[in-house]
Amino acid sequence: MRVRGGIGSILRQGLMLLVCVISLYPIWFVIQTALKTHQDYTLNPTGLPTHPTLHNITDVLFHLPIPRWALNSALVTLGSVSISAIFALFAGYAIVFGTVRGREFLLRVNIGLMVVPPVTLLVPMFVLMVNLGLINTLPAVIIFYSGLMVPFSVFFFVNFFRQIPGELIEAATVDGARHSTILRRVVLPVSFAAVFTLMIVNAIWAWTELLIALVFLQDQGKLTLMAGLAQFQGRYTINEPLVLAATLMAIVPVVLIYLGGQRFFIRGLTAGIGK
Amino acid sequence: MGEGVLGPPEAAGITVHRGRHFWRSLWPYWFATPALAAIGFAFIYPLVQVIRYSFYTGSASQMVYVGTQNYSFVFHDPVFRTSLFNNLKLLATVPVMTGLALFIALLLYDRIKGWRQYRAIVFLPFILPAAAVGITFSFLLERNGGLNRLLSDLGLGFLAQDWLGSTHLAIASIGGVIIWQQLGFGVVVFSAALLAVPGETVEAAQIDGANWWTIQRRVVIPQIRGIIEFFVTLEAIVVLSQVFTYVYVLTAGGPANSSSVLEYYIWVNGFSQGATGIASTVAVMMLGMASILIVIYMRLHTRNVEA
Amino acid sequence: MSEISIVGVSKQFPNGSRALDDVNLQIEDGQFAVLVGPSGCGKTTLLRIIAGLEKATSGIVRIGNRDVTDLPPGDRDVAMVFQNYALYPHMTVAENLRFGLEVRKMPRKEIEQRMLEAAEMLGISEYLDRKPRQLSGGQRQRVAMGRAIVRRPLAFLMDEPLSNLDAQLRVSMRAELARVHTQLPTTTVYVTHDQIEAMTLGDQVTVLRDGVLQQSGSPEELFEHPVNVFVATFIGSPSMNIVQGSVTGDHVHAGELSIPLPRAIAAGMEGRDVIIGIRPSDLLDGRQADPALPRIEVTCDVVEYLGTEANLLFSVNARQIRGALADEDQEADPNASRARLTARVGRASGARPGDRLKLAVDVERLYFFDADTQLTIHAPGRQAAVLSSS
Repeated sequence: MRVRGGIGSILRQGLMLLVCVISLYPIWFVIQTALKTHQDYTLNPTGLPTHPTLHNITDVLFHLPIPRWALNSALVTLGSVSISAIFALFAGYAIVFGTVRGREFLLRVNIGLMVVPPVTLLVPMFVLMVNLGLINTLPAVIIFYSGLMVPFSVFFFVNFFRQIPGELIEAATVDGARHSTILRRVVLPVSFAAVFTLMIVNAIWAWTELLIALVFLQDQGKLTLMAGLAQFQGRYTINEPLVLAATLMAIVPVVLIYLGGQRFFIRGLTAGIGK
Repeated sequence: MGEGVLGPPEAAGITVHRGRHFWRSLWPYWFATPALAAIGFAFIYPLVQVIRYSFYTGSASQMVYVGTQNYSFVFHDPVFRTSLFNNLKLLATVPVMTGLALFIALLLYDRIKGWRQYRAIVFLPFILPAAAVGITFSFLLERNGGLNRLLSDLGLGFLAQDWLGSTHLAIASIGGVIIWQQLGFGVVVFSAALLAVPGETVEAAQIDGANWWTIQRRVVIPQIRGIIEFFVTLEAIVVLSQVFTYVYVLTAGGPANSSSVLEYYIWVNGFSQGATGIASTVAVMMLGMASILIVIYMRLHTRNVEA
Repeated sequence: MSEISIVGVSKQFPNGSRALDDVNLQIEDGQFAVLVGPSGCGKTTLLRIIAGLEKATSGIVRIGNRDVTDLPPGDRDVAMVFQNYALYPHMTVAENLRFGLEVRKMPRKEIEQRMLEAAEMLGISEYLDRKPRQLSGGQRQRVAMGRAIVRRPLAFLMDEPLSNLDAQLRVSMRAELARVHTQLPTTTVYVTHDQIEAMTLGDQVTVLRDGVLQQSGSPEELFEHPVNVFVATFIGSPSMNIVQGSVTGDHVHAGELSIPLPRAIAAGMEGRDVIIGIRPSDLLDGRQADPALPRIEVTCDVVEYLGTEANLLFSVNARQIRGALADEDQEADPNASRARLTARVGRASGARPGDRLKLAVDVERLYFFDADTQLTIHAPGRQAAVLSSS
């Protein structure tokens, strides 16, 4: 519905354009700076590159462990997102379609867990990982990330499964299917969009997480992209274009995925709001 | 005659024990076990341990019981106080980002041309890695960085500051970066909520003769109050406990710890200086604060659900 | 053999409400048994207990000769047709039909064969590659039935399968169901709230009310010899007319009406307060009926013209008893003195609203019920056990 009056349509468009510029400028700045030489930047930090060069980017890609870090991030992200999704699928199915004693209580606790700051769990988790000999390994990060993702994933699936008509499950039960079969052949096919959305949302979190990765991983070769980037910044603060070239490498995959499927992000984050 | 497909199990000579059905009827518990185990491992165990650690000092392998000594140390440590106050100061960003997000969402709500594209662009900052955003802004907020240059180009050079390098501005600058990133999320969430508002209520108000601002204020916004409360609570939690990356990358807590926050304090103590006891103590205090927020959140959340 | 026995089944909810109270029912092998009653009477609960989707609080369920009370639904070898069809939305019709058999790991060839046979029987062979959302309500219904048929189970359980169809479709699907049952005489338990469906489809009809089994028997039995006021007014359309009255001497009095009774009937009920019932079709057009029958004179309020017949609605000064299908909202005012009754006559009567009618009462077809228990004291053609007047 259009509400006439108030802020005129031109003013509206103008304001929105301003907002867009503010939203996009920093990204533009990164791209622009990454293409400058160091001198260029010192003389002209904000203007267009006078002699655009790709050698920051090639430096970053070939002479620095960026690809290695990106691979680590990808492994960690993929691993933790998959594990937590599977765990949450089973748990969500059981909660919605099975009778579990104290279900309401568990759901409330689950919501409470979603807001526990991971930093508070970090010290004991670190000690535990040291004792298990898993410190400085990627699996440690994957395990902890998975655990942290479970509450939100369960919450998400429970909400989604509640919209599936219970009769569907009953029909399959009477047909003689076991619940693991029903989950696989009836519920999952119907839930592809939701599963995909959840995995994307969790993937963003895992990809951009810094603190835990910083604490768990020490070897250069084992760092995730964010951890590596943060350390990189510390070491090379004076060579801004180089640092921003590295930063650009971190931004590009996310932006590409976003452009490809922004509907899913948005839908995933606003699930349940329209109801 | 209706014969069973495979016949009853008994006919095939299989004895069915009551036991099998009993175990199978417990299937929901088996299904939930992995998730419960993950939660136990990642949440319950650390929660219990961190409380325990807060009463000890020394490194992880040689812990010495010291009662509440850690707590009194922390209370008297000026860096802790600064950190705590900084988190509280960051709470001031929440009304700002809520108001801005609401305003933008209202602009888009009237379906101006290209609103979907605008929404996509405004949302983009939110999905960027915080570390990348932080690094970018660390350059833009330098003394001769982009922001100050822009100000002087606009003739507002007198407003230029050392955004990240002055003790009284550092945390505020961090707040600004946080607002920049979180805004998109608010816009998307509020847009979704606004779309669920029945158009007839707006039309009725229009027919009653109300102007745009009144309609927003008295008809539209009250109907999305639940979502606004949800967003405010969420961002309050973020600002109190999920800003480590910004601080680490923008200021490393400085200058002189002036922009330290609780997470950073924990990190420095727990992992730079090996003082697990202190770090655990502060973690416990953060949990206390989070619990209060959880209670508030749950009250609001159940109210939302019932509404 | 796949007879179904329900012995002493009760179902109580945690909040104390009883959905079923000590229900005993025997369904013979190959019978089409209908469970009927108003909403909330427990019929669906009973069906689900037979299916294994809900557990009885007490009692035993037997299918074939097996005690299935504690068995999960998948082990009972029954097939269910749901009110909303519950078709798997992401599967084609063929895959929907195959699912139950694939789960039981039947050989592929046999699955295909059964599926094609069932599709043929129900006339859905052309839709095998379509998804449920591309089908009409009636087609989806057939697919739901097909899913049950391929299983060749011990029993079909149907939960109001025709309720979501429009009226005409419902009538033709009813005939389909009857035809399928003749071809495949599988024991069937069928739940409906529509007594016409019950009467036309059922070999055995069971009436439930508030979780209590009222009566179970053939449609004729329920119609001719209802065991209480509830069954008498639930079965038959339009509903039986019932009013409060008393028997004195050789007359029965109900409000302003006074009808002479044959001595054989009046004798057993002398001096009693009774509830009197007469079916609308037993109130005859006074001009054509046997002159020996007593007449009542009433004013016609409404004429419902039905083609070959007509319903004549009229009121008399008498106290009406609330029947099974009375509107719940209209609380029977104990002081109400107008009873609204119906007579079903042939179109030749030519009555108009406002006309003064003379209706003949076929006294041999009067029903008498005890005023307190509402149980039948006397039914036409058969003397029900006469309760001692207490």
